[in-house]
Amino acid sequence: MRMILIGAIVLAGLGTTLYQVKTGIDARQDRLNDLNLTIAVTKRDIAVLEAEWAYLSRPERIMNLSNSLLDMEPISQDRILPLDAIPMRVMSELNPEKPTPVVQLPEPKKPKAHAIKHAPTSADTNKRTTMSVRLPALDTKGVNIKAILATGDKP
Amino acid sequence: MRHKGFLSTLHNLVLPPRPDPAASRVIAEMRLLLCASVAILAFSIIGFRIFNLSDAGARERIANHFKTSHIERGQILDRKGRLLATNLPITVLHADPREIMDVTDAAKKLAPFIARHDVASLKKLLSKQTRYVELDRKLTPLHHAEILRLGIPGVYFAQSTLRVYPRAETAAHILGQVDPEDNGIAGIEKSQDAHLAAGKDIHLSLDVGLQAIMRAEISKQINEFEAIGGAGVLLDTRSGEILAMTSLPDYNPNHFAKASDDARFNRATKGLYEMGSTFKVLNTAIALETGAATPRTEFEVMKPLRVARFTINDYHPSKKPLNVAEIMVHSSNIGSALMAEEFGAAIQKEYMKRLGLLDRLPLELPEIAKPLSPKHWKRAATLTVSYGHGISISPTHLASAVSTASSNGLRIAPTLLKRKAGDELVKTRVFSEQTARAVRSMMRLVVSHKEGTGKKARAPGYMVGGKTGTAEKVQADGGYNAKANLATFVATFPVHDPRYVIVIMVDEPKGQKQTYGYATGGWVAAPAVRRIVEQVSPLLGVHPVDEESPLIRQKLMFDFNIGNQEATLASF
Repeated sequence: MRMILIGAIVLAGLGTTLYQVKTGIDARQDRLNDLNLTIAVTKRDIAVLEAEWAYLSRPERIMNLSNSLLDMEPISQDRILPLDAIPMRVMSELNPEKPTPVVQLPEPKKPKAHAIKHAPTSADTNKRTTMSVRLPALDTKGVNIKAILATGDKP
Repeated sequence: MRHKGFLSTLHNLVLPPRPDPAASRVIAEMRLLLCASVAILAFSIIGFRIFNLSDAGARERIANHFKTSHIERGQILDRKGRLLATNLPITVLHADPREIMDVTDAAKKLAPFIARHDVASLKKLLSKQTRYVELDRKLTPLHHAEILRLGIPGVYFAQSTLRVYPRAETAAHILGQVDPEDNGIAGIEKSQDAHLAAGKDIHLSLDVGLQAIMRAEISKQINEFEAIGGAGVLLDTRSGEILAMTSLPDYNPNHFAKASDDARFNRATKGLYEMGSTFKVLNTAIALETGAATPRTEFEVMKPLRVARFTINDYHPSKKPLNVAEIMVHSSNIGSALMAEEFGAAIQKEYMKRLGLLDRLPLELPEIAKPLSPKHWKRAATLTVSYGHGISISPTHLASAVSTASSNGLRIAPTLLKRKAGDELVKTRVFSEQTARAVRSMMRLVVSHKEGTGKKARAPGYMVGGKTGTAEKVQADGGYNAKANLATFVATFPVHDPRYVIVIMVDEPKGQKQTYGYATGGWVAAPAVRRIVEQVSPLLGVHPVDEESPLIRQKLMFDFNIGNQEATLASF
């Protein structure tokens, strides 16, 4: 009698588990189908939107819109320059961190009007005229930048 | 007695005599058993039905539906991935005539929602002896709802897809068409049908932007010169890819049925034309390659050339001998014919063959025509072919051949499909690099020299070289029609580093006041080339250059003599 009872309980347990597994699978299968359906619908929606975008972005249409709404025109060739034609900001080759090397220029000519000579102070003899090269203020065409950079601004 | 007997029977029925307890128990047990078995049977049947109806396989079937539901036709995209052909979901309205109860009533009710049928034709459809008639495709959701509300039995809806071409006329001829069952019937749709039907996408070599520019410019010329049509091809000389191809008039592929035969005709690949003077590019290349002439060799072009029963004339007869470069610049027919006479028929035919001008284009389109070439390729034929008559080819043939003769001497089969990074190109050497360089330098002179016929194609900075062509069209009776011209221009750019070849053809342009009555290649097709080059170059990444710079000049050959002056560097 006890064996029958245990057997019945075990059987009931197995049955319940089986039932749970089966309904679990069904629920997952439902969810999978749902997802697949959503994917298919979304894909279709994307295709519709893409087609619409392609239709709306026809060059003919954009050209018309641009002509009527924008003040733009095709770029003529004289407004296109190669990169080499643009003067570059001078960067030190030795130290890229240092953006503006100092270029030494010859001492300025003394103005003729200054007739009175001042006795040079010790500070003046050490201080030479220096100037930062900042383009486009200075035309670098014909200036040997490498040579200038090599001399550096040693005091 | 009888009366009494009836009463007792009734009494017995209503209040039966009490049987003895033993018998009564048996009866009771029998009744219980009967009731129980009926109940068990009933519940078993219900249970069985429930099991039957529950349809355990439904989920699997739905899952399978997604796996096996028909694969959608692949899309067609341009070289930059822009959509050219795709599928849209549509609702198809169909009916089973056998289930329609009142045909007249159904037809009357449906007619307002179906654009392609009226009551009479609907009645005819609905009384057919079949089980399926299609009433409408492309049903709008609103009409769908309205028809559902009518509740006519025997009318059904089905989901389907419709092939659409969202960019309308752009590349209509190349894309082609599908039938209602989505089978390709023309163009790429037909040639790549197996690929597309398997759900794979096709990437074309075309660029929608370039396509639009070319189409706009050619149609501008067609309108201005009241022409009947036109065609254009833009070819990448290094890969053989066709970046733009237009044939006008064209049509909207979404309304294919409404398109006329003329609009459906792809002039760029199926149209065969005698190309006229543009052939002189090829003729010159053959002469230089075979050693029949050098750029400085002079020919006596003063007198018209008599061949058998006809005479070869020049448009502007020269009073002195012209050299090869001058023959190109002035577009002398006599000079070209004399040049061809130097190398002869056999060599000319061989080179035409090598340039692919005697065979169908190796293009991925069903709409390709076999060129018409002389049946008896003797002296007369040789001389006329030299300046582009007596041989009919398509504009795409011309683009491919000129690309070979002017860019690097290599023949690369033109294609409409985008080449992949690792694709191996089959290149056949037809001309030497030296010949190609001389040819394109001469083409540059045609555009840059002050006496050149193609001056209007000059796009400053972009180094255009080219050749004009004005051919009288062949009439049905075989003669030439002096009033029906074909104005062509073939260009290569940039000349110092050849990348692209353009062919523009305008069919039957009429001379206009502003062109002093001229409807020649130089007046009609050349300006379109200039505008196209100016617009497409920034898109293609071709930068304008200083035409006078020594670096550019160095790359051109200037061993020419034009008008008794050395072709000066400036004239390039």
